Amino acid sequence: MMNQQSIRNSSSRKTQFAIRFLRALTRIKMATPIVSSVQSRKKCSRRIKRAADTSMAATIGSRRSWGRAILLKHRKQVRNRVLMRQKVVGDNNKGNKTRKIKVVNKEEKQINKARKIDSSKGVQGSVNRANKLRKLVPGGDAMDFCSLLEETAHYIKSLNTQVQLMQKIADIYET
Amino acid sequence: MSSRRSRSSRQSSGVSRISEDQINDLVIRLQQLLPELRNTNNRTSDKVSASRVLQETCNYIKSLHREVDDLSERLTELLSTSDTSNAQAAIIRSLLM
Repeated sequence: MMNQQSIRNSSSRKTQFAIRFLRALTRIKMATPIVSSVQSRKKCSRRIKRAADTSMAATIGSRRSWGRAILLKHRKQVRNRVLMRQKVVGDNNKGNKTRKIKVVNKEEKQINKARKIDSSKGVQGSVNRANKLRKLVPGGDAMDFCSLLEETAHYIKSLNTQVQLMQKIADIYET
Repeated sequence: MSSRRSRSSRQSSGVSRISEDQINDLVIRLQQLLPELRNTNNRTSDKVSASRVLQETCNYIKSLHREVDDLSERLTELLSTSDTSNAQAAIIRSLLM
């Protein structure tokens, strides 16, 4: 029964991811009607990659820390882009701007603190490799060793699904 | 029911009591997800070290990231060349089957 449930979950997750990702692709296509130069092509594929990552994270929801980390990072990027735009426009809400930057710094400090605490634990010999893994799994910096392993397993499964579905979508587009 | 609850709460609270068994279980679960090490499991049951599993995990995640990059590039090409609006329905249909 447990198994059946997980199969159903995974297929509905796939559909959810596909719907989100396709919606994002349509948006990207509207924003860049003709991709011509190498630079704009690179920019477009970066956007697609980000859309795929955030679509998967949004599908997973806030149940997993790696998903939360991706969404948080994405929100920060959007916020920064908005700030940049405000800067270009040159309006004078400077106080608002510095406050937001302070919030970002605080978040980073908390992550660093978590890492420091964790480095005292961990299994000998594997610590270096675990630290490499931390850099690859979103939000891995702030995890203790057990959560890191658990989150990694889940992240790999989701990444696999993501790759499969992107492949499928590309194949269908091609025909 | 209550055991599942306690599992999820352990995972969300940063402080967990790490036991050797727990880590071994997690490492084995991770190992079964890796194409490189999935099959070595049967022949040499406990010869794959945790550090090897971690190493292979890193490699595998990197290769998946590369695949995502490549597919993003491919989709960029396809978005600009093909008519993608008709394909949406086909994609959803193929997923539901």
